[in-house]
Amino acid sequence: MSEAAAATPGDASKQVLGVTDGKMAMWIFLGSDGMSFMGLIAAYIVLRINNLDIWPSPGEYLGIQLTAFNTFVLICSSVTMVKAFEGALANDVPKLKKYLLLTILGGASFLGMQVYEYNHFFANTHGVDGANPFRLFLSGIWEGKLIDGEWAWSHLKGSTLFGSTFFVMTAFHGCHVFSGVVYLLFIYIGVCNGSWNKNRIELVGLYWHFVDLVWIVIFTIVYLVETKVPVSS
Amino acid sequence: MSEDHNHPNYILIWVVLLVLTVLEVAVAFFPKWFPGWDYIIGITIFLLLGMAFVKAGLVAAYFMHLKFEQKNFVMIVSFPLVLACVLVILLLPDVAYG
Repeated sequence: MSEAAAATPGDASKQVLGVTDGKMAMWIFLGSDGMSFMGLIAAYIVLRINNLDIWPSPGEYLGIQLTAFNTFVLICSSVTMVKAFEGALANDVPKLKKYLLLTILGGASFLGMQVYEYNHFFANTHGVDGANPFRLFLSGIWEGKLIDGEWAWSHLKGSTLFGSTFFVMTAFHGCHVFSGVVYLLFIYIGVCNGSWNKNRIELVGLYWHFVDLVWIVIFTIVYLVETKVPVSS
Repeated sequence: MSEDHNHPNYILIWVVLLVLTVLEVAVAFFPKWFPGWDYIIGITIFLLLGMAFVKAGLVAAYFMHLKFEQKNFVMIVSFPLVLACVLVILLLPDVAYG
């Protein structure tokens, strides 16, 4: 009885299926979170296949090189996270702190580059005839008229699908990265204060790798997959 | 450091992931490089999804230590993945008659 009373969440002495309660809970969360991502991905697949004729080539509107570099950064931050966990297993606090900080930096750089990317889309930098093609695919072309002191907008033409699916998927993932960075910061502060254990480091690692895993899938289907048949010249 | 099964060679996995990422970006340009080929779109999508699955599998198996967990636990946590695939398959009629 005294053992059960002493058991705290994440206590390695209380294990089912060889994992701590915290790990089981984290995996259940990741399973359900993965299903919400899969819902978005499934919707994306259906919308895209049904609108192949109007779906633009992603390479024309999205910066694949920048995002490939972003993917590289996220994969590297995953590796620094496992290195941090290695440090935690070895009770090597300096190593743990160093790699945790690198992981946080990696996540923050990813977010920064995503903000840069979004910003770039909204600026008129790669427009044809002064119109930003990405805006067209974000919300179509809208015309505003000032009527009685108020703006009235009418939808002229263009598809909203490419932009809206792009932003929903990448921003939902971006929110996960942001939460991951905050989560990592709290763990880092805990390590600095000396209140940490191996289980906590493992849980934040699981979440972080999951975010990386999801980005690998999203990067492939949103940025890389090409469905427009090229015209041979 | 000895490589017992709880400490896989993370640097090797990292290199494999990076090589696959570079290959993916290269494969994405196939339709532009071979525009005359009829099946190029299908082949590109197949290759890209294949590589994405391999990468995701590597991350789950090694970084998330799924390879070193008990079999029952792995079956429990990979079940949502099966459900997710069912979700996509059930939506295929929408594609066919959309």
